[in-house]
Amino acid sequence: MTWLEQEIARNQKRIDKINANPDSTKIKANKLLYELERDLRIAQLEAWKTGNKPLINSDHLPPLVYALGGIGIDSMGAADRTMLATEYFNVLRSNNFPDDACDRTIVIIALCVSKNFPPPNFVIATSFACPMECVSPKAIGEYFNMPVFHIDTTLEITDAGLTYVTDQLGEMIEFAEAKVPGIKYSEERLLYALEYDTIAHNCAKEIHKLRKRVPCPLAGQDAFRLPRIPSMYPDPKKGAEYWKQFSEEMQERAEKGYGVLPDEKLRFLWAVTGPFYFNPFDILAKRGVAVPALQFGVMSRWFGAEYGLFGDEKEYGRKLKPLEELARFLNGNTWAGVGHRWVDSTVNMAKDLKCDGIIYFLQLGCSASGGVSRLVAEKAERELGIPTLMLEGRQLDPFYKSQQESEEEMNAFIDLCLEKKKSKSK
Amino acid sequence: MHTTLSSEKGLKELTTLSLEANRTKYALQWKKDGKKVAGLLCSYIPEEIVHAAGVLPWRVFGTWQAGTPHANEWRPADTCLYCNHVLEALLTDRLEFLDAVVATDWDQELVRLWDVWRYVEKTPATIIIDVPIINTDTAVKFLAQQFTKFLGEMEKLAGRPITDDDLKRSIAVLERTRHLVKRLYELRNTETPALTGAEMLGITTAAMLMPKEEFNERVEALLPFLEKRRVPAEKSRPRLLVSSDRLDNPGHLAAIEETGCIVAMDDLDTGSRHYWRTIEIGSASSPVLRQELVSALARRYLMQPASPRMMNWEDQVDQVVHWVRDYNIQGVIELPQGFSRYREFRANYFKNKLEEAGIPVMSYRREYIVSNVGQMKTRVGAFIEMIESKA
Repeated sequence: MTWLEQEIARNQKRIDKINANPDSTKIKANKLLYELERDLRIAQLEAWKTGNKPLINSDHLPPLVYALGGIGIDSMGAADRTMLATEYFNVLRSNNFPDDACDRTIVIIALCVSKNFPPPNFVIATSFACPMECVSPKAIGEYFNMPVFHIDTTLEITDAGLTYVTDQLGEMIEFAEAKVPGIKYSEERLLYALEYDTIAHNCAKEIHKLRKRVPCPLAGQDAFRLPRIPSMYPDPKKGAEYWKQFSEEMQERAEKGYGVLPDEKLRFLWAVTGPFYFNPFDILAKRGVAVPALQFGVMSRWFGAEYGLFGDEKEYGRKLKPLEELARFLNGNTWAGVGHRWVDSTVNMAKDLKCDGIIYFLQLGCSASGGVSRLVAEKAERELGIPTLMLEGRQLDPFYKSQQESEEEMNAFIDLCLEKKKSKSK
Repeated sequence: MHTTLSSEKGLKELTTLSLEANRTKYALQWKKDGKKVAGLLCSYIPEEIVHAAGVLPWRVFGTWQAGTPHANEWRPADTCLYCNHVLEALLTDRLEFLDAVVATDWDQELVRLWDVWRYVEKTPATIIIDVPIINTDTAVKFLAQQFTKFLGEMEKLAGRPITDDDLKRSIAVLERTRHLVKRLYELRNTETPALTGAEMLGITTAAMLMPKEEFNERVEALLPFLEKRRVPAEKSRPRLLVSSDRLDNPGHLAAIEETGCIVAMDDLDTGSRHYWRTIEIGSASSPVLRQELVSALARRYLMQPASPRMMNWEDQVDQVVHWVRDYNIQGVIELPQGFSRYREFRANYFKNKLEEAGIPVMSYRREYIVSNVGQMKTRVGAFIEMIESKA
């Protein structure tokens, strides 16, 4: 059974379990999420086996992949779901690919090379977040001899940059239609996708408002849930449904006064990414630490903390055309820009959410966040008076750093923050 | 002609200029003369614009000392080694003479180096240029906009406007440099080359550390001597090509050549790639507008033989294959610097395509500084044996 088939079975099992024995303490929207995940994997499998639709990597441009009539390949999303990727590092080594780059960007190469996951029929390689997220799908495309189109994003947010990326998107559509059987761009489909993505975004904004409440009504794991935009799924409408339901449940919990932690002592912003091979939130929760949010490259946009995701006229002072909206999104990732964009965004988020500390995950090989980690820490200390823990690790590799070691560091950091809070309140 | 320059001594003066003790010689003299120096961190920065402002374009190399303890307080150790060694040089006050530093987004590591550089406020001006990773017409247009902005920054630094004539003069000077360096490459394209690979790298990096006019004058003086010079015949085979990025220490190539071969051609951004492409500007008879000059520069920099940071991998391999054929190369050594992600992700493609073309290739992950020489020599020695057994 391929990894893809295992994922279908895993999600189906989760759905069956909920149907057979609903647990009232769990979030009900989870069932919809598992269905969406299962349906995506089924669509990927079908496209892989039958070629009924072109597979296109979709981490950065899900609405456009939908508009092109393709099925999205969630390169990093799939890697995240491997949770523990030891076997895939061996595949990378034996095929002359780097094994010490950011693991969430390289595991997908191994998944495809080992025939566990379909390679895309068309690759869109963008510098949206970091070089690895650009060259990893490119490497897959070149390995399988598939057409690759590159989209270059910009360091700063400017009108010229918006035009530049919009022009490239137009060129990409022409290229894809000419080179890839089954691809046909439809603006109607793009608008349809954007409509449901915007519904989800509005829900995300509501969830973000909840994060600010003390005590925080979101559990760390829920805050950590990486958002999947509805157009990533074959049925965007259902994707938006999930967001509505999830948001409503979060509201309901908040209304009922459910602070997930009965005695919230501290609030931490978790930044970059984290270890997926164990649950770091248990140890934090046990000690009364809430984690209202995971801060990542597009977090502030996705949750509407800075700008809206799509349709926000503030940034460029005018209404944008659909492809311009996508260009705006592509240029909006704070990871890909000059450092102050990420530094400011992270410190603002910590301030906004009234955090007492930042856990900054130093993901091995992350060129976006590693080189400015100290700048974040110094600014947070200087402007907010809060400390930062640099928690070194890898997302999917327990052999790089053990759970015990990570927990010891987090415990020491909690002690420090408690002490600091105590001395502040005196 | 300077007779002292046209000699082994003159050659040595050039090939040793990039040594850590020598590399600031011209920059410090330039400062003494009351002029400004801009440190350049990448080969995609238009030196012509810096030169036209009367500012010395000075390529920043890192310290060649082993440890980078100061830099490691700012950047994780598992990040670009060149950037770490450059930052170490900055934080230990070896780059205090710079009036400006100019970076690009060659990769994100370089952007992050620039971020820290800007933050520590050790250099008056910190400038970054957004260089596309693609080389389409759309990208050329965008880069021309970036260069126009950069021109404004250089005018600010110089405290005077840059005229079209300034720019044309500087383009002519830099074109002369390229022409001369390419002439030196031709002298390596012979049965017994005039220069070793290490010597050539010494010269190409020297051009990045001294006033271009003086470099041109020195090379012109040196050429008659080099045209007769030959490396010892026993050291002239097999002929290898080395491919890498940010490789500024000729010691790496010297170590390879000590195993009994010659690096007769390179694919380096401190070597051939930096000099290969010339500038095409309209017809000589019609007046050229500034925008055309800037566009021509943008085109030249985006179309130069590419670093792996550019997405045209096929062209990059084709260029190497072309050099292999043209320079009668028997094997290619790829020397990815540790944590150079673009090159590492391209490695599988690069190796497979070269092998498909019948070109033997080996890869050895190197440090920024020259280290683990014994291990490298063992690997290169085995590679040479393999090549020779096939010959």
